[in-house]
Amino acid sequence: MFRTCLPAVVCLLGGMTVQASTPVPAAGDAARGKAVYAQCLGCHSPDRHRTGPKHCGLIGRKSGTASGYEYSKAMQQANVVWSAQTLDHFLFAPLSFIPGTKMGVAGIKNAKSRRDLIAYLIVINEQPGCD
Amino acid sequence: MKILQAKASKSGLVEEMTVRSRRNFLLRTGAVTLSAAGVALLSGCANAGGYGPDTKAVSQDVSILNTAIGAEHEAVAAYQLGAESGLLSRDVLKVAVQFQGHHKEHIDALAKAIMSLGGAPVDAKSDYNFPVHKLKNQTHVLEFAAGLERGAVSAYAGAIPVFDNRDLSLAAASILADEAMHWAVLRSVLGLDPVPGAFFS
Repeated sequence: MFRTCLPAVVCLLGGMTVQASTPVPAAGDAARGKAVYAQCLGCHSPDRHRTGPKHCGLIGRKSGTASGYEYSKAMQQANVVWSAQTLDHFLFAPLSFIPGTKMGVAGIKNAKSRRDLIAYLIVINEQPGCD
Repeated sequence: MKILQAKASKSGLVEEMTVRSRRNFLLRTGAVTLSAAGVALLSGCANAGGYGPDTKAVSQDVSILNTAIGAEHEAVAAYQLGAESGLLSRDVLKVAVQFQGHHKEHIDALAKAIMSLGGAPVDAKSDYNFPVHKLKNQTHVLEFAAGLERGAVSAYAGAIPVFDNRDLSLAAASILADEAMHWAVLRSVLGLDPVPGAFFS
């Protein structure tokens, strides 16, 4: 799924791309991902900013740029474009991938759960009314 | 409903932890630094002065605590919305106000910890843009509240492993338990299995 519907990974950290060394994650199950997404609902919503930013429009967006949300300086300066691959890295260990992010959680260590969650994030990416 | 209220009432565990917190703080005042006092008050256990020379560790802990406060402020606002909606029965309203009080206590404790670490706690937002149009009856309000509580459990579960100061992990676990009790009670009122599984993330 990711291979067919997502653009090539663009992840620039310190001016260097990291895509060459990491494969694109395999397809996930969006229905299962919706259940995993319950873990995110303490801070996030598909369609409105909360403690964390909304998730519609996430895929393809540069980190720290959703209008109306106050990001950490670290997120603003991370220079990451959110894709299946960059999300996979971030969701595994947010504080390691972007030190200083407000998302102070350990991350999702199960690779399949991450794949499923990312599949769901792709579904809600095109939420109607998302500006 | 009486049973639910009994479950929702301030538990002996919380009271015990509060008493233990005060006792431990008094006993250990000489052993911890001034900046750690708020942490000791929050956690109620162990040595709270456990930071090394790395100031990034402190700022990361403050950031995590502030994220928690932001979510707690939202919960307080959500219960206020529910309380003022006119959609809740008298008994449910009583429980909702009690849960809101717990969230306020969480904010106070977390804010004290942040200030003791030299940080500044975040304020509540002026507007949370809640999906008010979707809340048309008591069930909708309770489902909304249950979703927030369930999310809070996950947020604290995710934060516990990444605090540099393990006393803060302990404190977060204490708050997590309270959020989980809220979630279970709300699920029960909604006619759902209050404890749907043996494990939770």
